[in-house]
Amino acid sequence: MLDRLERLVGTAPGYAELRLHRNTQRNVSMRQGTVIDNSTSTLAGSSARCHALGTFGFASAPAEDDAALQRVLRLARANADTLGSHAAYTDRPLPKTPRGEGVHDYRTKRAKLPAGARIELLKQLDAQIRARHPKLVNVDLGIQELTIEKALATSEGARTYGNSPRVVLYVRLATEAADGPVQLGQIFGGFGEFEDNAEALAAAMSAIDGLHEDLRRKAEGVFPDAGFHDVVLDSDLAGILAHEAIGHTCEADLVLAGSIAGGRIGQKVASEKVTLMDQGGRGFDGGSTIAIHVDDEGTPCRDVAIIEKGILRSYLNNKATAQELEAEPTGNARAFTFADEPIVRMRSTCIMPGQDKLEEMIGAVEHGYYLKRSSNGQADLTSEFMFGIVCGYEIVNGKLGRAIRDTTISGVAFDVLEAVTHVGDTMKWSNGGFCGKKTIIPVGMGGPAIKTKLNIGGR
Amino acid sequence: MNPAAELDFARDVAKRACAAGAEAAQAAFVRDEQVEVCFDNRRLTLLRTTDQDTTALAVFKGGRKGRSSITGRAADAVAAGIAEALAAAEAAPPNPANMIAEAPALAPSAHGPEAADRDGMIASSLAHIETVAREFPAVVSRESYHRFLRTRWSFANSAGLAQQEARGRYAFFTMFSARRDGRSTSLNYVGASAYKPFSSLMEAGVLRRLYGEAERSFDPRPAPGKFVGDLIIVPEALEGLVLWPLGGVLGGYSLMAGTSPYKDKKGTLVANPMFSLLNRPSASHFPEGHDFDGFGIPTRDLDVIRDGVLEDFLVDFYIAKKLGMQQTAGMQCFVVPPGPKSEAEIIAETERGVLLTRFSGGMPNENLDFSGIAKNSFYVENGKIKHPLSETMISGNLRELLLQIRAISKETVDSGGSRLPTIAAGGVTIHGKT
Repeated sequence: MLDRLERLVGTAPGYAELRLHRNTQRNVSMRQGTVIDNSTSTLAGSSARCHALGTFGFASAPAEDDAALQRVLRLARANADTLGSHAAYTDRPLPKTPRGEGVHDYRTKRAKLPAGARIELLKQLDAQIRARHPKLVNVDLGIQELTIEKALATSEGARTYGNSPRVVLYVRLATEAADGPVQLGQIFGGFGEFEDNAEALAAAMSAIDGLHEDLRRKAEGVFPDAGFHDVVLDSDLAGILAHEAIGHTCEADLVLAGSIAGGRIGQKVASEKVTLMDQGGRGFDGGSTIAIHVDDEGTPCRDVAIIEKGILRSYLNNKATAQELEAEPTGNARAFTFADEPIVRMRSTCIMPGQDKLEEMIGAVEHGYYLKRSSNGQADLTSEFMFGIVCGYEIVNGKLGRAIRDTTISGVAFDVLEAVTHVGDTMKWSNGGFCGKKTIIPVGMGGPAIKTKLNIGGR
Repeated sequence: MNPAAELDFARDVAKRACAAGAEAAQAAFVRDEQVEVCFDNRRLTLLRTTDQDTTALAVFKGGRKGRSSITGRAADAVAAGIAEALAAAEAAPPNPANMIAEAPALAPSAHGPEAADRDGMIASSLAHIETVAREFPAVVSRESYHRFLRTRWSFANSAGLAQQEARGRYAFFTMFSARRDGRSTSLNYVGASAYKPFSSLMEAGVLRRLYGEAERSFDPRPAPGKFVGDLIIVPEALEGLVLWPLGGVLGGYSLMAGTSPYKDKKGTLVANPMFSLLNRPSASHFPEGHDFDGFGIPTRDLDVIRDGVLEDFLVDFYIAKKLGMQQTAGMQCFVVPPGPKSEAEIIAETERGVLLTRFSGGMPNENLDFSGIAKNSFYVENGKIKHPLSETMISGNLRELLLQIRAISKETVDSGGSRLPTIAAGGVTIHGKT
């Protein structure tokens, strides 16, 4: 496969990338004990991107044979020529990088399980949940598997193959509170195929009991007191903080679009307790839920210290942004499907663990909140971020109190990181995680618990 | 392939699935052709052309259902897709609601242009870059695209139902902020689609207004303190904050879960009588609409909320069979009819509140509690827009908000998949960082 790509990309005039790309998904979902989705999908094809006359051209086709590869290469170059002839920009060569190489194949080595094994697992969990918690109004369960397989060759000599699988089990419980339905969910699983995770997923029941207890208390919970508060963010939230609050702000395309991080390299932007990384491979401890060793421009993925002990050190670059900022490409160019061009994306982004204990953090808060589980999040060029909170507790005089209802937290990221007083000693990677930026893409997010100050919505 | 051949291909896939062991099957072949010009505020960056063929198959056997989706039309891929769907079905528990649909066949339809005006798209993108530089020099954008997408759906099931429609439409999306003297405003974005090429990209959606607002937002401040006030929700914010969550809890899957707060509210007042929510997926002016749904059933108009009264739920073919209800919907394109007042009059009548242009918040839950940040928004006091906002959160409950609507604008914005006015409602907790 790589020989074929290398041979064909070598025929292209100028800069070219040639990619074979296959996303395979399997989804099974169950609501109220009824299977409502039971599907597989394969999204596969070829694409090429060329650079000429100061612009890019891209083309893709839903086929993987030589004829398709030659056609997308020809069309991509023609597209670059067409756009470049209209625009008449100065042509500057893209920065060269070390050649990304290697076969990074994470397919399971275990025997394949039949399609029915997923449904059986969900049926067992559904029966256990209903037996142990009969007052639930609804139980949603689902297994989502995604494997991304790519082969890439570039005119600069990169040639690499990657196969990165991920599976998640989601559990969402609903109960009836005095004022209507209340829900809470959790995601299990992580890196690897279903076969790699089946035993761990089958053992999720004890954690689901914990989820149910959080739900029971949430149903009796209160709306938080809207305002600016001391908070302890559980390690489950640190990853989304790293991704939404800082990571996006330091993506070089957003820096060029006016992000507040622009021009602040070398400046202190956070407490010296904070070191924030965007990492290749599977993260510094091998625990992230994605694997990426070479990006979709053929650049080896290197670890990037975005913030090192409170100092802003680096942005995340692809070749085009590196050219504009006179920086080095960092291996952050990623495409989700064969029909997508690579753009600047995060990989496995995390706050590095510190030395503090969660109990000490909670004990240090006189009046505030312990925020335990999150939902969606969003970033901004101003670094004013938000993310949804679906589970948390009041802290009063260093002790956990009443549960709180769904809310949203927000803050200006650099202010929030400056206000960090504690960084936990226990690292946790999120089990799932997608980022949305033109297209969705799987990302890794992780970190320890931290104590800081931010805005919390409420009544 | 020509359109007739694509429909024949869908028929053939359904037939082959039955020959392989399915008792019934349906297949949808979707052909997408796309041209996209990407640019930022300074230059064109990428010309992208993509072709995509997708075949989505559902097979039914003894009340069991399995689905698969493949790329391309190669015989081995189709055979593998059929085998995957059958294996999935055989693993599933039986469910009498799993079946193919019977419905009247529509005449094949084609909406919008068949091919992109590629040179025109490039020229209008270049013109937009120049116009923004001239009229809004502080505006910067990074992720803008001008796209033409031609899609043809060919559907067939083993009961002999066959449908086909094609839609060609232009779309524009841009993400932008304003930057001056090292300061940036909040990121904003807007998108719209239309059958005809945009005469100027500046006229897509309400882009000109939003660019102007970005340039007036360099000195944002939090709202003063914490208070209960009004939200004046412009169409761009209405869809995400109100209509998506509302569509969810008024949908059949929420009824199936038993978690919809409206499950026993049909026929009752759920909103101020000036508010109606209409589903119009087959409206001729919506390029994002559909003539038929995923089961091949022709779409139809539905008044979901009429004059404040909940008239019906959004129930698709499967949920209708599952819950023993009438099917009412399969696709969604919402229209909220306009009111009598101008947006300026509504603002002038506002004692204290927020002109909400973008909501950035946690997805409202099924109880419809919401909280989040008022982005790209303005503080309103004594009928005047006072200043742009930063670090200001809003929270409330959408059920209460619908009942507390006090005005709907006569101006509407057509995004290509919805047509919405500005809505003002009270009872929302607003707090600025103090």
